[in-house]
This record gives sequence, structure tokens and C-alpha cells, in this order.
Amino acid sequence: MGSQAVLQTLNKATTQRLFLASCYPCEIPSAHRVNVQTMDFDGWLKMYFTKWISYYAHDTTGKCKEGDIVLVEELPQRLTRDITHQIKRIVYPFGDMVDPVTGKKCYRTQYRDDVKRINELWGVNPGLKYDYDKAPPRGWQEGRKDWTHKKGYRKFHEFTDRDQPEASW
Amino acid sequence: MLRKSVGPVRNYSSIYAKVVAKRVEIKHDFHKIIKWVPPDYVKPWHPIRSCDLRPLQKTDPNWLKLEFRPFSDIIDKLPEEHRKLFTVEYGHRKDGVDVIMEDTLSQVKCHLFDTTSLPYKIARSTIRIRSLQDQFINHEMTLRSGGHRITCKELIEKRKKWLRRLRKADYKCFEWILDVLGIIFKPDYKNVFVQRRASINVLVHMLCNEIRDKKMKEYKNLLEYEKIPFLEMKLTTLNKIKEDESSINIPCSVDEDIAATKKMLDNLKKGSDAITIHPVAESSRLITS
Repeated sequence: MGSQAVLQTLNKATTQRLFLASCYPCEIPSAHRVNVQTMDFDGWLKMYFTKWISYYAHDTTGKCKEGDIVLVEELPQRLTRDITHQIKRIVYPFGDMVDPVTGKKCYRTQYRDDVKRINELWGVNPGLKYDYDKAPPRGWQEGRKDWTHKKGYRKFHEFTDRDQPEASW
Repeated sequence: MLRKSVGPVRNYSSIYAKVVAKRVEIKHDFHKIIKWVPPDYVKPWHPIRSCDLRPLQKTDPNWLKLEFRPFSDIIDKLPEEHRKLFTVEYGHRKDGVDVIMEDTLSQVKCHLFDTTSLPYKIARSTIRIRSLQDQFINHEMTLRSGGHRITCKELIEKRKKWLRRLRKADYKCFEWILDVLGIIFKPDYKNVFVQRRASINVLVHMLCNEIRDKKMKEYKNLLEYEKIPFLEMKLTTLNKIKEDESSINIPCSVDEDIAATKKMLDNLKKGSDAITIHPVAESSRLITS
């Protein structure tokens, strides 16, 4: 058994248990498609290439949304034909960035506190009704005006028995 | 000379033509069940395609023009005939749109002098898109202008880009702005040509999946229905054991089992729906791949 083969077996045995992954929508209820970034070694070129592997992970909490970065655990047994993994916890929720060093909330490249202070210095807009702290939690527009939880596709058929709100022209 | 010795050159195209002519036509029955209805073409500027739920707000003729708004106290005291000269009624169409624009932007601005934030850009482009759409629908002459059509299309695409960025930066604000402006945000898709054959393939897959799910559901219900007589028999035997144990003055050991079987029986008699695991997963994969 060569050293490379040993490494491969070790990788299979250890690193496949817990890993970080990004969530994507899927049609299976109470599950998500998760993409895991791995390093694939090319024996001829002697260098690593990125390789994306997708799994179907079971979501017990139902809080996970598309775009989240999650911690995924491999299940000892397949839950269904497709589901082989389980979402343990959400590490970084999508659209609500937190700086890992300071633990402060961010808006694009700035801290939220700084953005708030800058806006106050310019002059508070009395007509603005949006407040980050008082706004309802993420997901209240899901299935109404936000259809990102579904997989997008081009409209290919006029159905008579169902709507296709996620389909685009 | 050499060629003659080998033999005549064969014309392969004629041979293939004969083979094709002999091919037997296969008739499928699924054409009777599935009929592909291609979606109608929708123009790129159309509200259905741009995902706008509301048209442009109607202008009130009594509104003052934007430049005369700071002097509303003085103008309101003037007689009605004079006041009319400062209103939107005696102005261009743009004056009315500007008032609507200012009203909507004042709801969205992060601060008083904001012109660069994502909500501002989205709201501004939305009003411009709706204004152009209103012109295209009510005044068809404007459709002849290619510039207008292109600007509308480009604005729709830019707005989608800004919405995508806002979603990534602040999801709560993104949802709030969708609600305020009345826009639907659809997920991205792979741009593929809509073809008859590929669409029928997907429809056949969908039908097969649905038939499979239906049969699985029926079979599961049948199996669960068969559990009922067995559980009833189990309950009677457990009750007998309980009676026997009480007759010999031994503490009852089957109380938990009786309760569990009773619960299972009740659930089965109420009826439970089978879970569909793969409703249209396969078909959606086919479309996007």
C-alpha cells in the first residue's frame, strides 16, 4: 500500500465525517443540496485542483436557507435514496454577515455601527421605515415575493394544473 | 486503370438512402396523454418578465410640481385658477413622474443626501422601468424607439444585479424592499433554448415520477390497512395476559405495550398520508442540466 493510497483511505475515514458546505435549493422536502469544496490531487501534474462535491443533507431544524454556510455530518446510514448527510448547525447565515475576528455585524465592507453613525452624521431620514434591529427575521417573504428557495429554470411548458412562480422567461 | 481493376466505386449515399427509406415509423401512446404547450413569447420590457407587481402610480392633477413644493404655503393661498398653473396638470408628463419618484425615494433613502445606496438605486430604477412600461402600454408609438426599449431592458437587468447584491449584504432589507416596491425576485437559471423534444422528455419524466409516487402511496396505505387486524389480535392477547397476571396477584408487565398498541391503532384508524420523497426532483435536474 503506497503512501498516496494510505492518505486517500485516511481522507475517506476522517475528513468526510464533518465539513463546511454551502447550501443550494433542492426539490426534496426537509433536505438541502450542499456543495463541499475539496482538493483533488493530480498525480501527473503533482498539484491540487478544486473539486466540488454535492450531497443531499437532511435538515431537522428547518432554519437552513439557500446560501448559508453550514456544518454537515455524514450519516451512518442512508436516510433515503439520495439523503446521505445531516446539517448539524448554521455557521454563517446568508445575508447577515458577522466579522469572525471582532464578532461585530457587517454591511458589505463596513461594520453596521459605523454605517449607522455615518447616516446620523449626514442627517436621519424621517421617512425611512426600515430598521435592521426591528425588522422581522429572514424568510417572511419566502413563497410570496422571494422565490430563491426553489431552483430556477426557464419556462418550457404552459401547465394547466400548477403555477410556476420560480420559472423565468 | 488501377481503379478499374479494383472494381466500381460504390456510392454509399444511395445505400444509406435505401436504409432510411426502409425505417419503420414507431408510434408512441404518450402523445395522447402529454401534449406540449410551448409558452408564449413575452417581450423583454413586459411587466410579467420584469416581475413588477404594480404599475406606475397614477398622478393626481392637484399635486404641485416638485420645484414649487417648498412654496406650498404661499401657493395654497392663491385663487384656484392661479394655483393650477403650478400643479402637475399644467406641466409635462415628467413632472408627475418626478413627484412619484421623490415620494418613493424618500421612503428608501438611508440618509437625507443618499444617492448611492443599493435601496436607493433599486427604487429609482423601479420607477423608471414602470414609467417606460406605462408609456409602452398606453402609447405604442414609443415602442418604435429602440433606445427606450433597450434602456428599459438594461434597467431591469441592472436592478436584478443590485437586488442580488443587496440580498447578499442585508437579507432583511432585501425582503423589506421587495415588499415596499412590489417586486418578485426569481432565482437565476441556465439559459437554454426551449425545444420540443427536450421539453417532452422532461414532461414524461415528471409524469413517471408522479405515477410512481401515487402507486407507492397507495401500496403504503394498503400495507398499513393490513396492520389493523393484527394489532387488534395483539391487543386481545395482551389483555388476556393482563387478566391472568391479575388473577395470580402478579404486578402487570404489559401496561406499556397495551398503551402503545392502542395508540398505533387509533393513528391507523384515523388514516395517515404517505410522504412523497421525490415529487419532481428528477425532472427539475433535467431541465437545468
